[in-house]
Amino acid sequence: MHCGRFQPAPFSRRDMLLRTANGFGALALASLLREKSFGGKGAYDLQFPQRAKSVIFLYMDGGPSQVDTFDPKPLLTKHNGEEPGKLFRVEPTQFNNNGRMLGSPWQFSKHGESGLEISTLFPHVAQHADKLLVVRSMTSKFPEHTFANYFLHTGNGLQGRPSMGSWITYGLGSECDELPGFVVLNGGLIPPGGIDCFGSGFLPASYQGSILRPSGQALANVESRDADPSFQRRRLELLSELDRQVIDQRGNFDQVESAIANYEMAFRMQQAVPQLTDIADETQGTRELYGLDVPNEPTRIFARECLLARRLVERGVRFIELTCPSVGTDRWDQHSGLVDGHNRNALAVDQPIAGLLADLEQRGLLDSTLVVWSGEFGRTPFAQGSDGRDHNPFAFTCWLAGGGTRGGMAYGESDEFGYKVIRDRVEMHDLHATMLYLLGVDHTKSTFRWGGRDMRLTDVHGNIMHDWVA
Amino acid sequence: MLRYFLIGVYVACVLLLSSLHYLVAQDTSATDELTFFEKQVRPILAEHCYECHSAQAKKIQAGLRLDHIDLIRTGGDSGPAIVDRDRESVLLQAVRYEGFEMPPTAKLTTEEIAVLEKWVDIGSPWPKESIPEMGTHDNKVFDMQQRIKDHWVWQARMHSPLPSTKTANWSRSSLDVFVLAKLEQNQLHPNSEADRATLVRRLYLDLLGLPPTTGDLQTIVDDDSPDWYERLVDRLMASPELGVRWGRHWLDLVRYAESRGHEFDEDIPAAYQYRDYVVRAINQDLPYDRFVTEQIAGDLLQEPRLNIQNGWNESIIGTGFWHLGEMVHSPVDTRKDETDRFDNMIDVFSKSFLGLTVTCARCHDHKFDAISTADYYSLYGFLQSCDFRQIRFQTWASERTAARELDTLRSQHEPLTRQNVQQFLKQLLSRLPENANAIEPLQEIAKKAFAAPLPPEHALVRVDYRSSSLGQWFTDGVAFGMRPRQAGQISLDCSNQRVAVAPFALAEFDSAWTTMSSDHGPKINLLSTIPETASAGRALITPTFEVTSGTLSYLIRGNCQVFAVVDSHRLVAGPLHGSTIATFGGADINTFRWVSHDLQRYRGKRIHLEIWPIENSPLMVAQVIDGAPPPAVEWSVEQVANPAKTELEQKLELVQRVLLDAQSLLAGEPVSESHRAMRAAAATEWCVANRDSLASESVNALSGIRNCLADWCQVQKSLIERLPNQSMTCPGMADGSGENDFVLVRGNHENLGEPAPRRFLTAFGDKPLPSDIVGSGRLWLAQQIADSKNPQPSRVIANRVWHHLIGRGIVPTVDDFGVLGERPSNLELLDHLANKLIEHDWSVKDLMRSIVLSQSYRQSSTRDQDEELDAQNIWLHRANVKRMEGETIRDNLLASAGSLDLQQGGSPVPAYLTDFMQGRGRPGGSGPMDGNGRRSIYLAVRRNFLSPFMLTFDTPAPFSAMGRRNQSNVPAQSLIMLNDELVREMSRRWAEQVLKSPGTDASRIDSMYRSAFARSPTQRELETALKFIRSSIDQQLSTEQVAWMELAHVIFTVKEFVFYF
Repeated sequence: MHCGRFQPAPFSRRDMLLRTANGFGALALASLLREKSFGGKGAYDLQFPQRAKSVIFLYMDGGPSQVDTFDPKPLLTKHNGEEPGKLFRVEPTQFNNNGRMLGSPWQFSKHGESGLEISTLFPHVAQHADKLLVVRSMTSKFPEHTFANYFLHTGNGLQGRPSMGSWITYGLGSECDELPGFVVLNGGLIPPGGIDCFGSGFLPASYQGSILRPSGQALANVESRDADPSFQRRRLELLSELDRQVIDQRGNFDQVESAIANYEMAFRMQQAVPQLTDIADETQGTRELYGLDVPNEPTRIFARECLLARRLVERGVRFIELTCPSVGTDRWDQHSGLVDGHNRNALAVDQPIAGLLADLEQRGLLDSTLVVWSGEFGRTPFAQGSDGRDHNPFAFTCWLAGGGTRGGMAYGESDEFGYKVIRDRVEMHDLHATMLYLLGVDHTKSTFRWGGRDMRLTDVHGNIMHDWVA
Repeated sequence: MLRYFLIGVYVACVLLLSSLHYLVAQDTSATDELTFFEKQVRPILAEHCYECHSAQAKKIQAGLRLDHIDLIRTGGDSGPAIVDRDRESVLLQAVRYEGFEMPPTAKLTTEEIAVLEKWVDIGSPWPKESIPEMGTHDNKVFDMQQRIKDHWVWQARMHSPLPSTKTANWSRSSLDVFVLAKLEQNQLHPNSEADRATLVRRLYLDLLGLPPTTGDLQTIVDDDSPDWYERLVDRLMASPELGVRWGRHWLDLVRYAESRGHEFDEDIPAAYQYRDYVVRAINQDLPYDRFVTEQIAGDLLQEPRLNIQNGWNESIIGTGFWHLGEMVHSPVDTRKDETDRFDNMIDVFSKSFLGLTVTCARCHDHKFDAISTADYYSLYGFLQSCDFRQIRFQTWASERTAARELDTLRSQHEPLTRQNVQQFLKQLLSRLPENANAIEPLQEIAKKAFAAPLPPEHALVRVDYRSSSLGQWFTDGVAFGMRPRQAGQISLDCSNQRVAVAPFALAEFDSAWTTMSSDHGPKINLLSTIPETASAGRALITPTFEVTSGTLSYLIRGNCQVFAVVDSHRLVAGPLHGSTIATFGGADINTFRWVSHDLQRYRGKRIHLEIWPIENSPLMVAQVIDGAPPPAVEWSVEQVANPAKTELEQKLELVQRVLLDAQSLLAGEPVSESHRAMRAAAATEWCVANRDSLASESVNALSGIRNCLADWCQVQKSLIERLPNQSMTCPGMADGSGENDFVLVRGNHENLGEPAPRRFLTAFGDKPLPSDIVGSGRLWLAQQIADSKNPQPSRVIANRVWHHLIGRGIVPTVDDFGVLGERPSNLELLDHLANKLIEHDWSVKDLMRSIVLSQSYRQSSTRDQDEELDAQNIWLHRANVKRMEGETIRDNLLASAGSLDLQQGGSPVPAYLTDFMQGRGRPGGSGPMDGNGRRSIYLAVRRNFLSPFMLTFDTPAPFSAMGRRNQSNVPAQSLIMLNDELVREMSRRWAEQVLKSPGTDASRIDSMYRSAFARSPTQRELETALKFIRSSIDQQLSTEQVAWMELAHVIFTVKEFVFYF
């Protein structure tokens, strides 16, 4: 399923080196085999059975409302229009413009054998209810987007820490040589907090998320600017000759040799990335499954992201994050206009996600691919103004599928209004610890020494959620 | 004696009685209660709490145990868990999910909570049993003294004698001897000296970050004098480009950026002034102790360093270092946000200057180093006592000179003017009955209701300029003068021909400064609603106080804005915290009034106020109270009505009384009731304003006033014309009243522990802040750090310089000398360098010079048999191969292409934005792709839009001190060198240059090699390149232009371009 199935490049730099240069070619190849920039073993040994090999993180930017999607609250509907302060203590909110209790405008119904309740916002995903582990007791520590995004992505509310994708590729390495181990498919929206959500922090830069656009030039500088590819080939021939002469004069230094090997990688990426994004070989059935040709443009964008995510998984890429497309209103951040905003955001992602789950399953990849769906927090059960919802870090819902998780199950419980967690509270660190666990890594042992401390994705926290494991 | 005894007996009896009562109560139901406890309470505790709060716990959470009643009553970090019979006990609040939410995984059932409440209601009965013993889990004690003893950092620097060495004729200086001794100890040998071309390129890149020009190179090659190397070093050390190169190293430490990051990536207006300050300081070789002091407390220096050319206050710009971090708009919890900001400031401060990770002690005593949590929080007070400002650094000194002159003028002219006004009033009073013009208006003034101050003893008076001492006088700039106005003093507004009289001491904006204007330079993305430049240099700052009622009321005259600074939150943009800024405009500038400011959200917070006039409105500020405005005081409270007198007589008596008060006021005799003082002042102002119509009978006094005012105005005007009005501003620090913070238990900002009075780290000697220090005490803190007896700062900077020049620090973890950092490979050498630095008056340039002149530095990087013994080159058996930083790569690309513009300083070149750089706060327009040819340090650093080029080559994201950059090897680097448009464009320009200059193909290739690698090509290299050019053209693969461009591009990708040996 991984790189083995990957078509060899028509012209490989490695072949060329072997053909053209005697000593130097061997040298470069040796170092290339010794040190894989992308592929290769990670920093940590596996301490647990490796259930998941890859992670697809469906990042729902802005914070979808739990009570309108996966956490039905009939009592909220019953108390619709009442003063929230009379029902419970209301915590400070970001906009401090709290209105009345707001019952969900969407209907919930039971799905699958498990009978998981899912709202009409997700009709396609609902068909896969039995694959989902819906966590209704997620919490965050921050009610502001940026902090909460850093927290979700890095386990810390501040800027500059390594993203979980970086931790995971650092810890596990990658099974793909041609592509980075941590890829962000950018649908258009960059989360508040910026690309630092995908940064490698104090980990080496090799582990930072590479942002790929689902269409156009996918990656910065991955396309040669030459009109004719022979130009680059000629340059590289000259380069290898001149580099060799430098080494003749100066001697061998690891770092210089590695830099030479690095050009090999870059050259291969120039081939691999266009092959990845060229989806001409996908069947019409697949296109329809994901919704690649539906009328709604944001859906088409996200469909392409989901399809590329599967293709990346096939190539052995370790961690793939998808960001949302712009839907014309705001991201999932409906401070007002809840109905329109959530309808549009759900429409953009529902069918593509369902397509991804089905496709992974039928290709036998779902068991080894952990799919995580989450926003940075949830939303308040009471209105902001009259028709919006403010941020709610006290209880929200995320779901997981595949990768060794139990499907068709709801875990944890929020109170009768979906405001705070009352049972089986899950913290961000627990989610991270469990993701690492499913990948076979002990979060307490996955450390990196920096600034006088042994840093961890889970800091000093985190409990593995054994109940989630199939 | 007997009396005390009796009291004692009485107390004992009362105690006995009450405990008897308890015993009786327990007797009757003790068994039932204990059964209730065992059956219902203990199971709940055991099931839900003991995993974290008992002897069974792996680690006791929050210091709280619930497995014995004594421990429950004592409690943990948050105080007693149970107070007998108190339903608001912390334990009960926690299980009800009020504040704490315990147990964290699931709320107890309503029945379970009821059981615990009942248990507390009946006095929390517990059977007699001993306290269970803890398991053998680790409970390492924090022993400060032991840790100080155990780690080298805390020990005084050594003054080691020169070690003896065997190798002769190698060492050039003492530092070489220390290096050589270590080499010999490890059976290693120093390498031979590198060849001249290699040394030249190494020196240029290490010192300037630029390649030698081909002209420079020729001069050096041609120089056959024996001291060519020393003379080259001298030339490079004197180059202004040195400051650019080494300034960038410093900026890595202070997480330098020009925007705030977070959601919208707001500007840090004028941050670049700090960058230029650093470059200048390095170029001028500012002694390092002074450099440190300026950054910590440059605003507090009695004699700041003034720029020789233009008189700017250089020292104060240094304080910008505190404020280069991230900032958050609309934090829901401002205190939490503040603690995160302080944590970052302390992190940068302690790593940069001390090489210590103090912030590891935020939640618990440092796990390894001699730094306690109390140490950490003692530093908070220094930050709590001061705040961010945009500082008018250009005019800082001249403003103060001018303010002193204004003050002198005032002291010369004001008393005389006052005497004349007094005289005028006296004459007016003496003939009052005849002066009908005066009586009516004055009695109108006298009858008005006055918004008067509260008496000072009123509990909720927060600020009162009638009684405040000079120690409490804080301003931003000089526009409020040097001190409060005193009662009866006259102030003069020449341009409006107006005088004002202070009814009592108050703060007054001096109209002389109305032409002041400030500018912070270009604006990219500025959403903050705080008009920093409107207040810069012209604000009144109150001491810090607590807001209790949620409403503040201000007694002011004139129009102003007030900014209530809560938890030092200043990025007021977005939905929350707009109420911290209040605008009070459109009022009659002749009367005092109470205005109120709604701060309900901030009840219980300690805040300070910043108050400045709207545009150029006159402004007086008298008092700040906590609560709604007091009612105005009306004249009717004063019983002057006497039925025996006619109405006219009554009016006359009232006016006489007012004018008598006015005379007293002007004479400096206190007028006891403040509303009478206000009335007297208002009457005086009216009389002076209407003097001509009142003057028929008092010509002498009138001309006295007239002359006085004219004289005063004349001198003042000539001074005002010379006032330094326009200034750029820079971000910096300004002091307020001294405040201490608290230990925050486990780093939780809602969990206040013991007070943490300001002091320096205990391990450097127990040094509390001297009690006579007014304000923050930052200068004192800076002195503790820059003290040459402090072992660390000189070591830390010497090690940083060594790291950059040699390629590996003596302590490789340059920002962490603590227990988790690496040990120095050669402590004797490190201390030797540090001692020398101090002996040479902290001259960093001398230190740099001594290192580059050493034989150790001049070694070749060639590998030999010593490689096996010292693969990491810890002992420096050869020179290290270095890879250029991202900035240097770009600067070298530009230099080769002839596109480098060496102009220094100024506002940043806007960031070049590619399509891949998206997100909130994206600047409106992209900067030029080539950055206008400026050196990389001058390209904009926007936190959320960092240059992908720089990031890829490991330029650190600015979040904390980063003294040692990563050196990664990622394909994105090669992709940049292969395909980036900048590299392509520089190749094109270089080729263009090359083709323009006359010469053969061979000589062109030679000049390209010299330009890129500071050496000529070997014969083989020359032939290879020639073949490439010729075959391209001969086989008509490309035009001559393109062939040379392709060659230029290849040379950029040859590893020798980014590596130097």
